[in-house]
Amino acid sequence: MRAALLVAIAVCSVAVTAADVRAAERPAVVVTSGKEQQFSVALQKFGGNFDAEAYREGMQAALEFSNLFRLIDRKAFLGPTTTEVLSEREDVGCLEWSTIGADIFVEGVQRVEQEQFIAEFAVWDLAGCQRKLSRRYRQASSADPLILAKRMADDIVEVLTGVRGVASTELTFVSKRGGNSEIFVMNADGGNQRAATANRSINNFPSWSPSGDAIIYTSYRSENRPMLYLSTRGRGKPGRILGPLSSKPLYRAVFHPSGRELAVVMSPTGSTEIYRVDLAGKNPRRLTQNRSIEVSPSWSPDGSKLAFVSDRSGSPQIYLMDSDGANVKRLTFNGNYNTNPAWSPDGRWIAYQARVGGQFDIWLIDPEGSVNLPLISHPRSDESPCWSPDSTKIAFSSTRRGSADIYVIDSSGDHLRRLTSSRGDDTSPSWGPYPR
Amino acid sequence: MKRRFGAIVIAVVAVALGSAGCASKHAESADDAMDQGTGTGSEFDDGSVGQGSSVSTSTISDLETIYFDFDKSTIRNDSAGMLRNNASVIKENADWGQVTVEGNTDERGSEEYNLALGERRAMAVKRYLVDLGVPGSRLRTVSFGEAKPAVPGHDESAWHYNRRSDFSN
Repeated sequence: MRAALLVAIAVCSVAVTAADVRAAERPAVVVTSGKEQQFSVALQKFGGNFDAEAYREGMQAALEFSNLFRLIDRKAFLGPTTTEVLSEREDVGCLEWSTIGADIFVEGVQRVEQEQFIAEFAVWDLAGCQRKLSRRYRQASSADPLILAKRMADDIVEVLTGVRGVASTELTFVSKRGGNSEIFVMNADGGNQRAATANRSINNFPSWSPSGDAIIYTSYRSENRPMLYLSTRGRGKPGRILGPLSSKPLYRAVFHPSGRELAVVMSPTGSTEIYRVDLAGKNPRRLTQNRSIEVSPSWSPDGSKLAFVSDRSGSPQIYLMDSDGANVKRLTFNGNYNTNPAWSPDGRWIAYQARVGGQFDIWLIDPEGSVNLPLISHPRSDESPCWSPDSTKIAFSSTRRGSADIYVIDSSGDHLRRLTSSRGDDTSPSWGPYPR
Repeated sequence: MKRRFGAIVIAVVAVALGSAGCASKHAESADDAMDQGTGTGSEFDDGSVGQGSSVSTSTISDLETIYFDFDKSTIRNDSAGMLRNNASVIKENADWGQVTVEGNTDERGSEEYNLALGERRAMAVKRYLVDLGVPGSRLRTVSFGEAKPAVPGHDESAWHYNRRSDFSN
């Protein structure tokens, strides 16, 4: 036990020192979400014939998910708590709202009309008493109205920061809550967790298509060996894909950002290699040529490069290569087990998991390899990082509570939040794109 | 630099201790197999090698599990006897058809890397059996990585049972 502890301390101090030295040799870049500023928001209940309180709560939760807002208690309001009609500039009452400390005033109305749910809202910047945004949404009244509450919250984030919020996005992950490893989907805040597979086999490595319409995953459901499946939203039964290649083990696939190709980990002769292949399984192009293990491809956002893991040096490390396999470059040098790279959608960072003292932590490294920083450290293991589509958040699995759960944290290392709490392990998260 | 060296020494000792634990398990497995009379060389063997009931009732699940060191896929010396045993039992039981050699890992490390490691283990066992005269066409390999632990638990007492290659149909 003491020996294990000593290992942890020794490895940890070596890793941090090396990172400091490397960082000191290069221009300092500080990782921030760019969004430390918090806005104080006065949010009215949206008057109308849907449950206005539920709608307001949904919007508040979605706004708070961005970690950008402080919602002002309605008891402090000097003006009305519910919107009756949307304001004109002369009657919005900017002074009343800014007196109670609000930077932003949000009002809205909603109604169900001819089997449509219609919601309309406006966002006021109180400093200049200017309407920054006014928008109307409609959807079938049978759909969940809170979908629109989240979209509006994401709009508000966009109007204030220039980058759309991610409350209305979804994550897919693997859960053993029912005893088997099945694919699940949930809202970005952890709500509405539901199963996408129930085949009682082993299912793993779910990953979204760029459109968000489909999830590709690995399953042993047929012949008890690993093959790839595509589960398309609303289409019922998932389809096996890459049939022409499936005489060999197919361990994992991720979509190219274009959606037209895949990077696939397969094993032609007993050693894993990374391939590029179209969705029909035709024209496979082998990108790695090695007797070593090559796994975990992650595309750069423009699709021109791939990060991946190889143990060609004797231990698993992160490498980069061009999308045709050329210009291979080793990226990580600290520690002896670095894996699961995830390239941020804005291209600036590659998140990965690094073994420190026998457990894994999430680290961030830039594609030049000049800055390498721990995102968050913990005595238990944090694994499998993935990015939100706005590059402000990272979801990962962690055993900090015992069994593995999915957590989300800002890329600045702030606002850790647990999304799942099932009794079985929840692992391997993949963050979906913005909804259309 | 000095500190890093110290860490490596401790890690090496830890690995050595771990493999010592595994070795004792192998001895137990071998004894169990003999008690059940699955081999043909039991002291109560009636001598009808290849035809006796003890052979015809043996099943693929009676083949002995092969264990590995952490992050390794090399066949350990203490596995050689078990693999010789497995090779002759597979050869004697042509009616089994194809035998699946499974590769498994402990839970540490990334799941995807462990799939690749499990495959290496299954391939190492297959190659060894083929060298002992088992036709390659009778062996298929599959890796489950860390997804099918034999023993639950989150320390070496479980892990050393899970770094394994076992057999199924």
